[in-house]
Amino acid sequence: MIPLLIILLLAALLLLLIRRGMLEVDLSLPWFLALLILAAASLNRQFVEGIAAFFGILYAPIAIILIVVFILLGLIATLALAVSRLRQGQVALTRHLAQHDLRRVENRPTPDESGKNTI
Amino acid sequence: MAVDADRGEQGHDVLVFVPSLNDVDRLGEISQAVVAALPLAQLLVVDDGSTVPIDRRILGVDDLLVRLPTNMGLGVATHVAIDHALAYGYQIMVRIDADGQHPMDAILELLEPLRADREDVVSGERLNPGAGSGGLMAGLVKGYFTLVSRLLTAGRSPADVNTGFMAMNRTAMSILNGTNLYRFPEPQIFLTLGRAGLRLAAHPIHQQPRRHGKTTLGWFQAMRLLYRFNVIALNETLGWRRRP
Repeated sequence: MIPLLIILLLAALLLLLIRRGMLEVDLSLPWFLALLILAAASLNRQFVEGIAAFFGILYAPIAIILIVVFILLGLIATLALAVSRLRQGQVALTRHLAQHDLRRVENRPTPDESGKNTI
Repeated sequence: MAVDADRGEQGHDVLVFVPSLNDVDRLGEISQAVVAALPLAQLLVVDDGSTVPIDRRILGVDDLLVRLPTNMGLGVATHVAIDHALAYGYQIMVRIDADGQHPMDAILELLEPLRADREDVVSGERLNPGAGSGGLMAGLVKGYFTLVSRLLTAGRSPADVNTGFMAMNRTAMSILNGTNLYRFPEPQIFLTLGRAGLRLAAHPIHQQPRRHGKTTLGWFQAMRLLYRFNVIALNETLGWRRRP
């Protein structure tokens, strides 16, 4: 009962963060997936024993550590990808902004705009 | 035709790009030197988020100044210049450092092989690179960059791949436009263009001693550069570079 309550509380916290705009919907997916896996691990003994058997772990509770490590790696990888994408977007935006500023100070159309190939 | 050739010699189709991060003391001198060497060339200063924004008045009336909203690194500043050169039809882009270490009278010698279509990129090979040295570590890392670049480009890469003094034609600009240039992008530029089969040449120069400030390459930065360069070199070797 208590594990279920904790899982529900954490899920509610995630929803609250999304509702307040502090967490992107897209980025919340891995967190919800992590919660689901942790819920399965804490509510279903056979789930943990099944994983332990699959990986050949003799003492089943150790499998929970393995699960947590995998979850953390997944979350870190997702965040690293998101940060990289954010950086690419920032670079694209900066280049666009710089071109906009330069076009204003150049005060003349580009060759493409004026239908010519040379300046 | 004679008029066109004359205008060409005066640099009407040349964009001179000067990236600057808190380097303002010699920008006025550089602007005047560019006008003296190439009266019709366009100077573009990219302020890469300097702490105190560059004062427009230290530059010439016709010079262009664009300020990036935050420090994005030399790679992004180079992309901004290339974007502008390609959009406005400049045939050649020259890059000069804002610290005034590059001999301005060598610009014309960099341009000549490009004008004659003998080369695609000409760089200023520093005969005294120690003038702007960042110490032993930086020296070792830079030596490694040169060695690997020359190996991976079958010797086409210049002997000094860390120089910031270079001129390139539109073919080179177009290729670089399809890549992601990172901070301290010089070795990446020569490696990428060399691997793309472009003609790279070097012109010997004597670098002036640094009057102000100091090199930004410390130990930690050098390690980061080393890692980044190895990843780029591996991708280039495997042919995984993004094509334009």
